[in-house]
Amino acid sequence: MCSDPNKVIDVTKAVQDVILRIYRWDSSGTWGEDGRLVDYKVPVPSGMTILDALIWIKANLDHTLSWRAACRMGVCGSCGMFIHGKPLLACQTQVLKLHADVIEIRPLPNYPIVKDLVTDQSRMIDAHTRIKPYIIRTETPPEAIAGEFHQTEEELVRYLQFSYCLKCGLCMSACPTVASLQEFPGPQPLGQALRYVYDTRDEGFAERLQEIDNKFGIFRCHFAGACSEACPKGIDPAFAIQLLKKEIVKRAIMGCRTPESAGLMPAQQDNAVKAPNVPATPAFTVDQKK
Amino acid sequence: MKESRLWFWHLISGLALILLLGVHTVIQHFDSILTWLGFIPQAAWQSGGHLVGSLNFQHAVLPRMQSVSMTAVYLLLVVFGLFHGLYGLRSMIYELKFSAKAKQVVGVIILSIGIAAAVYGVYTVLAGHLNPPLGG
Repeated sequence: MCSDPNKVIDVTKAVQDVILRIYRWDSSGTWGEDGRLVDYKVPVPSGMTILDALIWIKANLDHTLSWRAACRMGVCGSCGMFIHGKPLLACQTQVLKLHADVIEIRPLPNYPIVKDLVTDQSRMIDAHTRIKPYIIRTETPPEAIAGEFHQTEEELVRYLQFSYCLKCGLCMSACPTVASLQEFPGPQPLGQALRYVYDTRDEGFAERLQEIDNKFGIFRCHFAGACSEACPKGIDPAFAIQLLKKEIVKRAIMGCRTPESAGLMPAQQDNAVKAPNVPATPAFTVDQKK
Repeated sequence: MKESRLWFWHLISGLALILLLGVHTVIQHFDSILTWLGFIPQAAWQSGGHLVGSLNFQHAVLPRMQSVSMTAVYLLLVVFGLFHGLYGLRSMIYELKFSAKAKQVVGVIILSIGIAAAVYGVYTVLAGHLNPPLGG
């Protein structure tokens, strides 16, 4: 985080004062058992994001305010919070675009609170881990795989959209089933399960099925679609879940054959001709020990 | 049974219910429309003995119960209706906030209710075949 936020956030060109009504809570009970909403008046210039405003508050008004953030550009997914009644990324939400004089900011729903706007996302991470979010191959040991897998552009495009997940957890906070059913994995892990099921290099469908095809699993999703509305990357987890249901019905019930997984690319021929105008591969920055 | 199979049959039973309830509704409740369409002769109404949707036991209910096609419709309606409704009920109850063990117990109770209701329902549907017609 920037050491002197005032150098980055220039409030001298503020066009409007906005009240940020922020939920405060800590485990020591400073803000009462149920926490409290505290108002902070922020001079807002054009382009200021909620994250900028929080940084400004911490630097100028209250250094005890806590939230989680890292990249400031919608890539890391750390700064998810409940802004003005919606789960949003603070770094991608401009204050003036909310068109409000008072903006309420709370921690993401459906997660335990650690402090102020910081939530404990263990539930999502645990469920995400259980669906095995990596390519599973039957080759043993995995080191036996020598080379690159063959995958066509069409095969890549089939799962590409679902691979853009930031793990920000906004979908989990929007999901009504996550709110009511503790054992439900949630849209993020289920969406990622599809991402790997759709990947032609993967052979782990049966392993993942054990985690998602149970009485508290994927079939408890009743397609509210709130996850897709909340997703800041347009991944559409609700659609992914319906596609995964279809895939389970096709493969596990209708007995459709699991597509053959991608094989390795053929070894490069010695007499292969390199395409013209392709720059040479840069030298290794670390010595390659043979 | 795996959850995916139960869910699959929930979909199938839902689709089947649209068809079966459609047949039931048209035959039982839209008999005046069937008459208007010419499927029931007007004369049958005047004599009080049309055999399709009427509640006249002797002339309509009993023949319907003894018809093989209507028996099949009602057997399927009992089985699919119970399964669809009770699976939906179980899904809703699972979302209530109580322990996984209690949910397991609820699942067993719902299954028991379903089996008992199915046995009673099937017996009711087959009653027209099992018992001799009343009143000769």
